Amino acid sequence: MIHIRHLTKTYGRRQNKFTAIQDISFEVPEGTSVAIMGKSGSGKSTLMHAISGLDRPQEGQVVIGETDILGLRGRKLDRFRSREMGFVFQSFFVEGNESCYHNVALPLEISRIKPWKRREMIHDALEKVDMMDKLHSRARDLSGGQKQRLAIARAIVNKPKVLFADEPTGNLDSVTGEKITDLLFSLNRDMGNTLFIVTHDADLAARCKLQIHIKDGHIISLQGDTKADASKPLRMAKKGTK
Amino acid sequence: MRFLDSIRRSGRNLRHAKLRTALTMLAISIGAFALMLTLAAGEGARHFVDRLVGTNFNPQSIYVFKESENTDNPFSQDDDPKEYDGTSSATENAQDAAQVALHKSDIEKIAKIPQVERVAPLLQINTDYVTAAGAKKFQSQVKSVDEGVQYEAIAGKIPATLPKDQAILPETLVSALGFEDAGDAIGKEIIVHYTASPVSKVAEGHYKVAAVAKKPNGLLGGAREIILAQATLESVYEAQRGGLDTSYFGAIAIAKDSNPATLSQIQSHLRYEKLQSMSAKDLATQVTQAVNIVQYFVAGFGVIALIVSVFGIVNTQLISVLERTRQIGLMKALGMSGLGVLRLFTFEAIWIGFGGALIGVFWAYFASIFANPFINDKLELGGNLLLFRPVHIALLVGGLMLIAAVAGLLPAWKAARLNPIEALRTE
Repeated sequence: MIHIRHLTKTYGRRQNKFTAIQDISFEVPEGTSVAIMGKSGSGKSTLMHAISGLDRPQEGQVVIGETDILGLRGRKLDRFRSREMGFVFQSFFVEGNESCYHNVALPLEISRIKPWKRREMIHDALEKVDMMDKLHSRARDLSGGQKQRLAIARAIVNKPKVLFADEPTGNLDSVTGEKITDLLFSLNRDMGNTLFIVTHDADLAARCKLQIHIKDGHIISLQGDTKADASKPLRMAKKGTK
Repeated sequence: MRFLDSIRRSGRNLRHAKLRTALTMLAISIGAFALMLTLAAGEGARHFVDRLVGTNFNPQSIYVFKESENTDNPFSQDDDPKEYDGTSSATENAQDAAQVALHKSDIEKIAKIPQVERVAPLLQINTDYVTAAGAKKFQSQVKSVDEGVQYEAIAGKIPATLPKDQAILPETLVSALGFEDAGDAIGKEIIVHYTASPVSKVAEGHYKVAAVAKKPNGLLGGAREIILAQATLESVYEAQRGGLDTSYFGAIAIAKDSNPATLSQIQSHLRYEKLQSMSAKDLATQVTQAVNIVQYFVAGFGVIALIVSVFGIVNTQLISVLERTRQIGLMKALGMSGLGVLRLFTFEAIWIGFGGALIGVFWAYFASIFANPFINDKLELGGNLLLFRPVHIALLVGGLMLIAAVAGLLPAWKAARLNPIEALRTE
């Protein structure tokens, strides 16, 4: 299970204090797919950053498996993120000058995987996204959809427990976006990793097993297959209204 | 990230920004070029000094001069008027200052030093000309065979002790004196005509040519004047002065062997006797010191060029960090530690330093290929001035990598401190 407990993140101080997310709690079984939805500024990105340990909320816990990742410090958190998490971004963030091979190698290098093990892992990841034919192509020569597939290969090469996708189809046309979505869900099904998708695309969200709607830093609705105490976040949403 | 991965990835990052990398490296290579040439020239100069001293001085000989407090520094003259104290006259004081000649008693003292084999006073003998039967008259000095230089015979044989009535002829005079070649001159007679003076009891000397000595190569070794036995010169010296003056401007003490310990023992004896001395090693040290000062001066320019290029590295790397903000953000999001990012960017700077140093060394070597023959031609050094030693190259390259690393620290530190969320948000 992945437990999110009482996450609160504020920015600024005193008069300028701004609460991005407030007292958010829910839990999801491992291997499921979760859509975090909301308008821009709703706090959905902050929530994703908090769950992935990129950002440090003032309060709360994020327990993945046995680990409270917000309790990890510095390098331990870095190591956890490099081994157990994968990231896919809206604007791909692939290294245009590097070949596909070296793009996918980056997380392996960061997580200090032994050099002789890498080749197989990279080939495996590129095969899963059907990009083996582009192994030595430079990333900048790829189309948008190919770049995102490359980014997905990079995200899954370490076989992470949790995969975060921040608006993965936001920069793609609908046909390509559809293919990327299919790929993400089939990987989720085959590899058994938990998939968090931050999106405001309702169609994409509908394909996830769980949909969390965020508004002004609160969960306003939680739909789908969850073992989370559904009443709790809903109750909190009521309490939190200004 | 592993060490090797960091090195490889930083190298690839640089290759992707070829123009910028190349320009920064070029900037560094100018300083590296100047420093490499300085090192090479210093090395060459030291070798030249060794050759110079080695071919012009007998390693067994020590030059001896009289110590004089008043002449230590000719520029530190006291301009204040001195009050007459009734004991010493102005003329006496001036003579004291000039009193730097060695007397017979000094020569005897030197001869008594146990490690000294013999002493040869340095004699100034005035000659008018030298000639041979049926030849024209040519100007030439005479010099004692004991004066330290080791001659190489191109004809005849230089005897272990030159007899009083024999001479060594310099190669340059062979054809002038009407000999067919060096071999032809052996055994023939030459006539040295000494300068006349009211007291002089000697007009000329007749000597048989024992050997012909090779001419000097530039400043290196060889014979320039007619070489006679020390005993010959001593008798001519006394005869020329009518036995009136027996002081010498210096002497050469010839040690029993060329062991440095022996030489330094003799030198400490000489110091005790208040005599100044100079061995071949001392002379080499003195000249080398002069070379070093010139070298430091030129190296200063190289260092200034390097300082400028260090700012070039800082600048380039800062821009690089700015340009790759999102890449850094991604790496940090993927779990790269701040230290890892710091290392990656520091390695980039080190690569730049490495490349710049190699380019500089290459240019310096390339320049030396053309400069060496030219300098040798003009200065007759008897060897290359620009000498490249692997240890110098290694020092230079290593030093520049270190400097580049330091220069790269600030940008690398900025990169390491980037917040991944903000970095990823940058468009």
